[in-house]
Amino acid sequence: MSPSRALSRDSRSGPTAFDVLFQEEYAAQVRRAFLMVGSEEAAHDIVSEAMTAVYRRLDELEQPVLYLNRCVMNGCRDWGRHRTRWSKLVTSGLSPERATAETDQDRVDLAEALAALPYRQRAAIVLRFYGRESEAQIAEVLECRPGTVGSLIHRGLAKLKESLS
Amino acid sequence: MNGATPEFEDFISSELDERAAQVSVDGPLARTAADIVAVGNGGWTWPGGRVVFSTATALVLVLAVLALWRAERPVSVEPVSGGAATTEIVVWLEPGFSEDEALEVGRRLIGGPGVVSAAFVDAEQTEADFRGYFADEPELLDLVDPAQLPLSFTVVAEGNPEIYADWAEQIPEVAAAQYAGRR
Repeated sequence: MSPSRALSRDSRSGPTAFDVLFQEEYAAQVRRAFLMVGSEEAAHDIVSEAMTAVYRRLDELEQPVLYLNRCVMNGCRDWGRHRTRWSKLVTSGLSPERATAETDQDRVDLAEALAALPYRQRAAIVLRFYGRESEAQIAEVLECRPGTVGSLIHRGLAKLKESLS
Repeated sequence: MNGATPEFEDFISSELDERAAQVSVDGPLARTAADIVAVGNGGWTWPGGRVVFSTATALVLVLAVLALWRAERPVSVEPVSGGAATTEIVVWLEPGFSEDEALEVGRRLIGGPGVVSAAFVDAEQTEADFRGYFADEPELLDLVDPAQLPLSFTVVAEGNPEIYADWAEQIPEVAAAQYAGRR
């Protein structure tokens, strides 16, 4: 649920609107960020940064939850863009013997398949199938057209199915 | 059609729910609203002394250093147009291409939406980049065959980088295209 506009940070009269927002959103956002980046520590860091950004701009935000969603997903993208680059290098740079051995040992699971998706496909899948967000809501978070969300989900599911089969 | 049935979509939902439920949201890593307020009002550390934003900030700094390093050693493919408000996208090729083959792909990459320029990151540079980044992890370096590292291009494009990334990922030789920062 979205707290109303012009939320107060003033704590003199009990729990603030920010306290309420934090209580309603922190856990869910950490879980969502974890699905995106695969690290609990990073998920807490990303959500804390996003929450701090919301706190600092709370008085001027019309839709603080939407802003929080965007900050969290952008944090996941920024965190992942470098890490993904090098994990891709590491995976593809393994010697053939080593790579084969690791493939035999470890069946690809959903977490690995999800991590292998490009950021926007991964984000669309997590928002749709974990967050149960509509395509219109996802489009607002990812700042793209709803039709693009449909395409991202379509392509993401196809890759997941291929990876898991 | 991606062939994803409602049953497969339900399977994805339930797997994500199960995985997310394993995350500790109130353990030692968790912050409180008071922590956020303290940092938001100008603090620099979370309670316990841990430096704020350690992981994310470190990665951004590493990325910035690598971007500067790359900028000093570009191997230009072909500048296409001039313009402002550009962003940088890293385009990784599937592994196994020779440098000549990669440059052929590069000529297609510069035809994408909004491209200003593209710099080829050759095998030597990729290996040096990789070794520099993982200099403190020699065990990891030993595991990797440098000849297998995939080649890449650093593309500078105008407009929304996601549009270019989506376009580039349709090219079969491209493994992934990732937004890498403002230019």
